[in-house]
Amino acid sequence: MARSDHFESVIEKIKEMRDFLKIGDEIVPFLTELFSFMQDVMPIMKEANHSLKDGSQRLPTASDRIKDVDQTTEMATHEIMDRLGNISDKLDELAEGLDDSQVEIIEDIKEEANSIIVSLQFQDITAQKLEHADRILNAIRKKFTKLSNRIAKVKINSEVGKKVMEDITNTSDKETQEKIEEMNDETEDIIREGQIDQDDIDKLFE
Amino acid sequence: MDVKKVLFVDDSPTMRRIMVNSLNKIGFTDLIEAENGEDALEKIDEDVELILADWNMPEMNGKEMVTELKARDEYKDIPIIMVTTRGTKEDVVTAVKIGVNGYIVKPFTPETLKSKIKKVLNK
Repeated sequence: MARSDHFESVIEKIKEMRDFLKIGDEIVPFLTELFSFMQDVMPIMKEANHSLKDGSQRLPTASDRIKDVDQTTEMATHEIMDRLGNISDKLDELAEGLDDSQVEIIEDIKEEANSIIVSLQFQDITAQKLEHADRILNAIRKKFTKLSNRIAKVKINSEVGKKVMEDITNTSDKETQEKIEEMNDETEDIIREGQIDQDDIDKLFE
Repeated sequence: MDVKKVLFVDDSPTMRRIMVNSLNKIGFTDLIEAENGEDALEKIDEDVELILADWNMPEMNGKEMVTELKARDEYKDIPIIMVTTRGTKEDVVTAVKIGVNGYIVKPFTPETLKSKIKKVLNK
């Protein structure tokens, strides 16, 4: 009886091992696929991490540029309105002592000047569209910063995980450096800080 | 048109200047300018007989300002014309629902402004 029990127990163990190996048969292809997926995703995650950091640094500059455009166009618009106002006043002076037909011409010119003022509404409309674009940029920037911070806080509990994260966050490799340079070229400032005035430019040609 | 005082509310200095110019041309010279809804609520008084208001403004937008004015007995009957870049049907319906009396989409011509003001004041 004891021998039969022992035999039963061995059969049981063999069955367990067989079931275990069956699971292994099912898991191995899955693990192979998972590994292949990770290989494909890794470069993307690396680039995404770099883009998140880089993007969140560049977006404030983009936002500042939008604000600059708004301020510059507002100043220019007000200057135009000032000058049109001056023209209108001078036309009023000119109209004194003129005959009716001449005064009518003066009034027509003033009306044209006024139409220009009315058409300057574009500045407000443009400013609102720019503000909308700025809000979008800021929303994206916040998202980028949040994601970037989350990546930095990922808890690593395994050696494999540690190596994967090191690879994702390392930007010193050649491929990433090339991508950084490419991004720098694409986003290079056209109107740079520290521009010199015309007199200084002329001196360089003397 | 015999109107004593007009309150004009817009956060854009350019628009305020254009509006002052346009209103002066059609005979309105007693004007109060405000930069947003909150500023308007501080500056408004019971002599104001017409309000022209932008919608998109910081601090308190036009919709919020109109809702607040309609809740106050001393100001609820002052006619209000919205002057805004927002021009969808939904926007106009929203404005009507909160009690706005007229609606002008930017950019506007002085003739449009004059006719809308006349229409609202004659009601």
